[in-house]
Formats: sequence, C-alpha cells, structure tokens
Amino acid sequence: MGQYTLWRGRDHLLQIHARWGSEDYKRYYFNDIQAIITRKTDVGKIQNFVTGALAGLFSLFAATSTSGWATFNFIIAISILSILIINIIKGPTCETHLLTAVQTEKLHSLNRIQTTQAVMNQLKPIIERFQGHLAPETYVQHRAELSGTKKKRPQTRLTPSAATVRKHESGRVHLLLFALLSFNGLIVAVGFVLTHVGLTFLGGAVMLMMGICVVVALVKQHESTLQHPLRSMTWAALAYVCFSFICSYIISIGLAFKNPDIVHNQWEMIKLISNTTPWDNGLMMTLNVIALSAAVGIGMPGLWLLRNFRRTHRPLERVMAGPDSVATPKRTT
Amino acid sequence: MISCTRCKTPLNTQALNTFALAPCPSCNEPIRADVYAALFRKLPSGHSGTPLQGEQEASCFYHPAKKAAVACSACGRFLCALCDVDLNDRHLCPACLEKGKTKRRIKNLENHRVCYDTVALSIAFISSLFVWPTILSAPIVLYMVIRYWKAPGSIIPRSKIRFVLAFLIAGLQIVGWILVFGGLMTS
Repeated sequence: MGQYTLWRGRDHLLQIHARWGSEDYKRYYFNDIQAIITRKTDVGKIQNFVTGALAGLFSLFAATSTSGWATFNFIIAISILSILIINIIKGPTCETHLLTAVQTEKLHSLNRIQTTQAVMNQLKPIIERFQGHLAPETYVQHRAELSGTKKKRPQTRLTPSAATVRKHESGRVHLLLFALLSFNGLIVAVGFVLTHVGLTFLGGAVMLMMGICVVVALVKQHESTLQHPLRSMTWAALAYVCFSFICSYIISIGLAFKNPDIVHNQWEMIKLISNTTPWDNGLMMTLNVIALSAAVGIGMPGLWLLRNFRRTHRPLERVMAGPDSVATPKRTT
Repeated sequence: MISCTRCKTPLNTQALNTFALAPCPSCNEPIRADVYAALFRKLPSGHSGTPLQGEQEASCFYHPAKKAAVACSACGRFLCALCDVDLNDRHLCPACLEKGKTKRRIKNLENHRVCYDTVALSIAFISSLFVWPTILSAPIVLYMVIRYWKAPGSIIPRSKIRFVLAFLIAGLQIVGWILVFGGLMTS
C-alpha cells in the first residue's frame, strides 16, 4: 500500500514510502551501494492480458446488451482500454534491488524497464565518483580470489549451492493438465453446435480432473527445474480453472432461480444445464468465448513449451536414470 | 557474490556491468546487474578505544578508563574511539546522536514524518464525497491547517498548496452549512 518514490540527494539516494499522509524514509549512501540489480518480470504482460480480456468482455457486453446497459458497459470498456494503453506505453515491468554490505532492499519505484535503465545509467557515474571505477579485470580477479578461498574450505554434504537444490521435474502432470485444457477447449467448441447430457458429464469430469492436476502441478513445479514460462502457464491454468468453477456455480444458481420447481431433481438440473447453448444469451456466449480462448491459449502453448522442455532435458534424464551408469561405472584413470 | 534475484543462482562475470539486460544462466530471466567497488571493500572493523596510559591524559566521558580520541561536535564531551560516531564528517556521542534523531536536529537520521497538509486535504476531499461528514470534518480540517501551518511537512521541499486547498474546501463546506441552517431557520 502507498506510493514509493526515489530521490537523489547530494551523497545518497532517498526512498520515500508515502501512505495516508505519513512518510517513511530510507537512505542509501552512494559510498555504500555495492550493486543495483534489475530483472524483467511478466507482471506487465499479465496486467495487459487481464485488462485486455476485461476490455473485450465489457465490449461484448456492450454489444449484446440493451441501450442503457450498453452505454454503461461501453464506458467501462473504454476506461479499461485506456488503462491498457497506458500500461503498454509505460513498457515492460521489472523488479529492482539495491545491495549494500548489510541489506538487500527492493526499490519499489523502479518497476519499469525504461525508467530503471535510465536511472541506472544516471546513477553509475555518480556512484563511481564516490567509490572509484571498477574495472572488469578487477572483478574477475576478486572473484577468482574468492573462489580460491572457498576451495580451501572443507566441503560438506550439507552445503549445496542454491542451483543444485532444485529438483528435476519430468513434467508428466503438466502434460496431463495441458492436454486436458486443450481437450476442454474441444468440448467447449463442440458445445457451439451440439448439446448432449454426455457432453456435460464429460466437460464436468474434465474440469474436475483439471482442478486436481493443476494443484498437483503447482506443488511439483515448486523449486523444480521447470522453466519459467511453463510455471506461468500453470498459474494461468489455475486462474482459468478458478474462473470456470465460479462461472459454473453462478450459471447453476441462475438456472436454479429461474426454474425453482426442478431444483431438487438433480437429473432434471443436469439436463437443463446440458440444454443451454452459447447462443442463448450474450453472457453465455461471452463465457464460452473466454473458456475457449483460455483453453486454447493456455493448453496449446503449454503443450508446445513442455515438448521443448522435455526435448532439452531428456538426454540428461536418460543418463541419470540409466542402469549402466550406476551399475558399471567406468574407471577414468 | 551477485546472484539472480529470482533463482538465486550466482551470475557470471560476463553478465555484470553490461549496461543491458542479459539472460540469467539458470532461469533465463533478463537481468542487468551494475556492480560497484564497494562490493569488494572490506568492512571497517570497530574500534574498542585505548586504555589510559597516565593521569595526564584526557579520558572518555562515558568510559573513564579509556583515552579520549575526539570531542563531540555537538556537546563537546570527550569521546573514546568506541563512543565516537562519525556522521557526515561530524563526530557525535551516542547521546547527541539519539537526541538529534528524536528532536529532528540531524536531518539524515529522520526516518518518519507525518504530512499534515496531505492529511488535511484528504479529509477535506473524502468527506465532501459523502456530504454529511463535512459538518464534523470541516472544523477539524480548519484546525489542522492553522495548528500545523508551520509544522515540517514532507522531507522533499514543497509548497503550501495542499494546506491552502484544504482550507478553501473546508471554508466552502462551512459556508454551505451556514447557508443550509440559515435557510432552515428562516423557513
């Protein structure tokens, strides 16, 4: 909560966190700054995706609803669209950290690549004026010294590096999840031309399996070797599954209110749900279009990314799991 | 050692001071790391102060057994190397440092401020959205403007425009209420 700003002083950087009329200050002296690290993030892309989807959704509502609601939805759509445009103009997002000898602090205000790069370029000569220039060979030399001293330390099995802690993940659950997502897209697409109780049952079962798979996949990908885009896809799948569950619940409640006489008869309810088509009203059409786009937009790219990942990691997996390499080790001396 | 802020993998030497985004060797996230000489500077070890050698030597105010090394820039008390706090080329004793922080005498030690101008303007603006609360908030805002007009605001120098706006809004609200009650009385 609140607003972060960064100010340049005579000998320090001042980070101000302002909220509800009070301000907190943090000072980072140029003489103490060891490093400034910025990393590009996908937050901007997610924001664009969400605002784009919402703008599309409200545009659809505006197109399908009557005069009063159409104007209201149109205004909302335009507002969201303007937020999207501003976000696009501001450019990709990033996370910036500042390192000193005693702390690593996040610079919240430096959250756009363009601004951050400009600020880092501005700060570099100022910090170097206080600390002196660091030649690349100096860094290499220091690093070599550091690794040399580290080698002298006795190695213990309890001190693995951060990189080796990551567990290997084959991605089988992810494969199932993305396949189910794609299959769900197919079911939704079929729903545009065909309605049948069997299709409703199949869709429900697929959704349930997707719900289980996405939770298992998220647990498995934690601290694993899976690549970042795949992880993001899994999180997007979770968002889609939650969205689908909520929508299904709302539709069921809406149908129950419309048909109170069949609420207690489950079979009649299922038949009623199976008889609804995307062509019934604007809301159903919108939800089906979103479901179809999400299933295709997450399922297919997910499968493609997973295919690439498994291709690159398969040889290593075989060597590691192969019985020969363990049972008959070759002497190299 | 500089590490990726996401996967914590140490970055290659080639990935540092490139002035551009380069992929992290482990997670492939585009990253830029600007490293400075302070990274390789050894932290200065703390001083403990030297014991008194003879009776002729001045002793520290806080440690009578230790030799005075410097006088406090604020209070003039003699300080040993242990008690000496070097701040912006000034030598301060711990008591003056604490006093400077609590009484805002040392600006560089201040880490919190309440901006009454922002508070007054926020109260004036938000209450006007709901109309009825202004009957209470308007006098409060006027009091705040008068009471804290000279109080230090944000650490970043700025004008009194917030106070002026808050005063105007609160004044208009009070005038409005006077008119409403006046109308009710006459009718």
